[in-house]
Amino acid sequence: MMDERKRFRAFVGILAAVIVVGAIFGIGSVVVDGDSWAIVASIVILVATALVAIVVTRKKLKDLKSGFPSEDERSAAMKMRIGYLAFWVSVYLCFALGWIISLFVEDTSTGFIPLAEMMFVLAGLMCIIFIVIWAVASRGKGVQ
Amino acid sequence: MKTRIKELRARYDMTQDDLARKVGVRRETILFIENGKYVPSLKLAHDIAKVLKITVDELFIFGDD
Repeated sequence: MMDERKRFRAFVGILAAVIVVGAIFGIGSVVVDGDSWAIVASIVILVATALVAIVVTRKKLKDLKSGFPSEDERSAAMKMRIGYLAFWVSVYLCFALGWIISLFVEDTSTGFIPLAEMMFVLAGLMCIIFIVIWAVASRGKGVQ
Repeated sequence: MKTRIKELRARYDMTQDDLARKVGVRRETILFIENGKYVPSLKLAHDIAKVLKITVDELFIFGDD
């Protein structure tokens, strides 16, 4: 089994790869087809990812130094439950949003957010839902 | 479901951090178990019982006991 130090290094490596790839795609999309929505969405996603990465990495490093595991059976169960809840809330919310947009906006490709950028918005929305559910569940009763 | 973890920790002068390190979990997990908000796996219950020199059966107080 992977020990805690190796697990931490793997975590930092994956995080760095995600941020670098995100930055390349973000900068690339702005250079190739720079409309305002793409620029704003790219910057927001990159900054949010970097901030979350810094906070999580610092916490994991602190745990590593204190001799605690970065994950145990309760935190793993919590992640599963929160991920499950966030997924279904996001799915229903996305359907609801799509239905509302189709009712009130006749042509979604013009005048409103273009469909390509809508994906960024939905991805951001899913992240926010996940964070909100995480915050509520962490303060509450655990996973029971 | 209640547990006797807090009482036994006090007997052995052990903090939540000490117990968590000995059984290989995070401190919050011990806190949640003590408060009856998380039911541990059989493996974790066994490990805690072993550290506190007690049986699993004696570690937990169920509602119908």
